[in-house]
Amino acid sequence: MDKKTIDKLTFLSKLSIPESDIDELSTNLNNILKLIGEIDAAPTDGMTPMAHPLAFSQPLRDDVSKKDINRKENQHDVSKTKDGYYIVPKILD
Amino acid sequence: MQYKSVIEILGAIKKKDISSSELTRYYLNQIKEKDADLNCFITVTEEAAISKAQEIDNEISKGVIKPLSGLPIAQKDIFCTKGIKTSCGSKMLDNFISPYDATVIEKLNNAGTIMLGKTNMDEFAMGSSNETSFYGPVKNPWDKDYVPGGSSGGSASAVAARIVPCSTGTDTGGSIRQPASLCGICGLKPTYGRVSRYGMIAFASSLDQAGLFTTDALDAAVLLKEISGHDPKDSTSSNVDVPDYYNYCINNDKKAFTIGIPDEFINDLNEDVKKSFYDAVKILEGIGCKIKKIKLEHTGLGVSAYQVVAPAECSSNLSRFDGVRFGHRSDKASTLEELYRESRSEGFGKEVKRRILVGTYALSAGYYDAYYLKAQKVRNLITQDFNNAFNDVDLILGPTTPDKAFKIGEKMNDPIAMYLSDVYTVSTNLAGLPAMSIPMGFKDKLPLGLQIIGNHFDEKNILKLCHLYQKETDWHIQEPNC
Repeated sequence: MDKKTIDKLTFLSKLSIPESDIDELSTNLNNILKLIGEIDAAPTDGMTPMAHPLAFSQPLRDDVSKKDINRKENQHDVSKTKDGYYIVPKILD
Repeated sequence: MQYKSVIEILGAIKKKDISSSELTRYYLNQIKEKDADLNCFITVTEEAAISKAQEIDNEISKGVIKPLSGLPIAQKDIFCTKGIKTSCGSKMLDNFISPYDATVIEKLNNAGTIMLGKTNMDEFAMGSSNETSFYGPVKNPWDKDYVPGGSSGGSASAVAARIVPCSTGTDTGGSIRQPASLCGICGLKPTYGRVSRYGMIAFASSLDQAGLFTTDALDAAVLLKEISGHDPKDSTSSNVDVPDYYNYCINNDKKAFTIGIPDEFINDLNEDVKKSFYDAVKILEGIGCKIKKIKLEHTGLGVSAYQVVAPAECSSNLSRFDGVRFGHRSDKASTLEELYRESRSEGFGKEVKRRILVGTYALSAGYYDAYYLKAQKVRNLITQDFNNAFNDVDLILGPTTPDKAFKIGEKMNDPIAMYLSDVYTVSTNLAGLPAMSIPMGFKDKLPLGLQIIGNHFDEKNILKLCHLYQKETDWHIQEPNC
């Protein structure tokens, strides 16, 4: 995994990695790719991908609105909120 | 402490031999005395614990006895606790006070337990040594130069050191069983869906499961009943009936289990672990169990498949930490893009970032089929191996870990070596099976664990076999001198 790929991944995942850590990260990611690459040889022809361990149909709740959490409790950190809204840097000029 | 187990504690409280307040103070003092060194706790909830203990004592004086009245417990800091910091071992959530309780917390609170505090853990449960925690490494009470395992290292170390009688943990790839093994205690990972995940901060949603640490299998049986069952708040929790595990362990006569030993779990073991393992097998044969060699042909691919599935799910789950609604917010950002990037970069540690990047890679255009889809197919292969095995055997037996605990710092710069600590545990998570680790001996004065894997929702027979084994052995009652 080269620096260009790492740059793309950090962009997609909204992370920044200090320049001084890139070489170590690249080595580690390449080793991890080698490890996970071992699945290549697995005989999976005709196998269904398994996203979930149990073949249950998920039980559904009654379609009734509830107020389990109130906004005030959820927004107790006032440094991030104003009048019930979250504060973010200006998006539009 | 004269009461060595959860069952003894509950009996003593019921008979009023000891009050909940006395017990709570005893354990809080133990934490004060020993935890500065062990670092098991991120938060100790002393005041709330004393107050709840008094409340329970009042109830008991009025004849109100709940299933776990007065039992002190430590909760892994991955479970949301209303009004109490829930950090998940991360700087990202160092300032997070949850507005609600996780279902596991709610059930244990309602059953009468006294929460002593929140335990240290690998950051966002990503680690096998408890060294990735923002709050520093936890130490193994058997030798403080060694790791307790992870990610539930604080919960495991605290029970092993007897500074709490029991604790909760979570297991995504071995995070209950591996630390239980390295600390010489019992660690139970129930079937996926047996216990609600509501309010349990998500790492990999199709693998995560809450469970327990105790010193005795019967204690786990008592606690499991209280935390199990369907939860309308978690649509992946199951409707399968919850048996009375304790009564089954005590009253059911079943002894002649057919136990499968997979070649794949034994072939590469070192001689010391192999000897302890076969000593355990002999004891089980003596009880009346029948041993059968089995094949789990694809479990060797477990770590590789896991290291695709878990990071993929983690990269998605951790996208919620954006510095806007909760968690760490960078003060260096002047645009929204910078706010996301700087908050996440400052808030997450190295291992978490590495896993997010691997997951993002596995899910990205051009790689999805080669990695994520392929890993999901391998997951199915591994599950089919287990399903086939359970046509012939009741339970599967193996070591929990390839070796004893390793030294603090030994594997921190080698993620592959760290990931391979979970080589015998990850496959059960991929298949969603229940499994338990119990002590089976020592190597160089450090504990070794025996892993018992059951079929889906067959925790009762795992617990029963562990109980039968513990009636014949004393590994589980040995205590570290810490």
